[in-house]
Amino acid sequence: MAGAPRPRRPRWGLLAPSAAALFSASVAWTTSHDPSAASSPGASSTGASGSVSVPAASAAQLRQALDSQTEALRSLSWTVRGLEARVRAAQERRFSPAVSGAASPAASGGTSRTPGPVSAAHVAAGSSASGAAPAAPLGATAAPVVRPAPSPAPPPPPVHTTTGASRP
Amino acid sequence: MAREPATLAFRAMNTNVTLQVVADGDAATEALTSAAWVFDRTERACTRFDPVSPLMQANAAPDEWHEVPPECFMAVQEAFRAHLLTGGLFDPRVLRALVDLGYDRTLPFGLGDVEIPDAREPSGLAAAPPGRTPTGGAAPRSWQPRFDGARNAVRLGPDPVDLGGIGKGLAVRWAARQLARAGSVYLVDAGGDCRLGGGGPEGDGWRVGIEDPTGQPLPIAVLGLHDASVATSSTAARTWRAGGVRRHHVIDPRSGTSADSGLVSVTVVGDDPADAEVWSKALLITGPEAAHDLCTRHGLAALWVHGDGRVGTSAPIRPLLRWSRDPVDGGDGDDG
Repeated sequence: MAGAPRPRRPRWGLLAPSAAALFSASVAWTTSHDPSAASSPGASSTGASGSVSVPAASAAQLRQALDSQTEALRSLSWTVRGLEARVRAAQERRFSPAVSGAASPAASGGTSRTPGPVSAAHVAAGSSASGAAPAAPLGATAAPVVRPAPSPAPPPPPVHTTTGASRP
Repeated sequence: MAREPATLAFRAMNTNVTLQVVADGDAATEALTSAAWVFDRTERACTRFDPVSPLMQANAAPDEWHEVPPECFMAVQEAFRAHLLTGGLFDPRVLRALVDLGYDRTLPFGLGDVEIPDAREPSGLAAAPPGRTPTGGAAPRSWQPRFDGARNAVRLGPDPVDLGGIGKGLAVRWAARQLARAGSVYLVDAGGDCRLGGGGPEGDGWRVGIEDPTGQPLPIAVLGLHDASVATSSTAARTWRAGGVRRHHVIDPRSGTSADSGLVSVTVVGDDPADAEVWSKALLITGPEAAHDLCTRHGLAALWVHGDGRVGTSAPIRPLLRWSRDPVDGGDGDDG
């Protein structure tokens, strides 16, 4: 049918294969769809570049599939938020003077300029042992930008004796 | 497992001396006692604060021959060697300048500000003839002491000398030999002039903190040393006020007054404590630029502190740094 919008395969990366197949068979879809319209059985709506028509018989299955995927997305969203919170907490610990001093490599007799062991927090934050700025966490547009403060020098190792100004 | 060293601490040469050796009881006691006697003999032979000491009797008539104890004889010889080695930057003839500036007696350093009301303006060294030191300054009259090893006799030349700094370094050297007879792990520390035998009580190196000349509690750096000597010269030590002017004991032989080179502290690490003492003083006198050149020429391991607190190092000392308060430049021998 000349002039009719060409059906396009929707982007259903998050749908199960069975639901994606169901959709591709029964839905004429545009990329600028309105999800709220598709959620009603037998409803139709006009999008910016075409129309959506859903057969009533398939609507129940479609809704079930959408509900399932919505729940999956919600769960995934919570997981992402939880990860973001853990990343922020790890960043705050990483740049807190009190904590970084306690974790100094010199406490074990090492050279102060030698990188210490890389913790899980560093890895999660996308940081490196060399002190590079951590990568921005996912979806962190609303979160404040955490800039690494200059790391305080670790405490000196215990000495056997001293030389210097107070030793005339 | 670390062995606790036997320790003997006492006061000598107007400074605190600490001796340590890891050895069995009797051997340790004997070594510590012998080492302490070294300090006693060296001080009695080389002090300038006792008018009847062998050194001061020679200073009273420096153009005449004087038989002196071996410690004094060797100290003058070593001072002459250091004078030649440093191109005149180390010059024991600064005694007159020290006296003129008010340091003519044992002063109670460390007990607050020392005020000397009757100090004179420094008369300086003998009139400088034409000539230049390696660092560009006017050279004082050359020093030509004479030695008669057959009878331990010296003729100092026209000027009296001060053996304080090098005498302490030599006492550390000789005391270390006594301790080394009892055990390879030992420490001789005389006011920061140190000789460190072996790798320390734990075996992983002696850790020596370099004090901040501005008096901050945190050290500037911590060295890890095996079988080495370290010495620091500082304008912040042995200071006094004379006529309202702050003075210190490191005299620039080119000017005849307290050195003002832009450096406030120099630490040198080497094999021998007397050499480390001499070079730390010479570098402090000559200033940062010439110090860098001298370190390169003589392969010196040195760390210096500028008047504004910046820290500079020569390349050979960097591998010895176990810890540093500020990042130390790993570049081509420049200030860090």
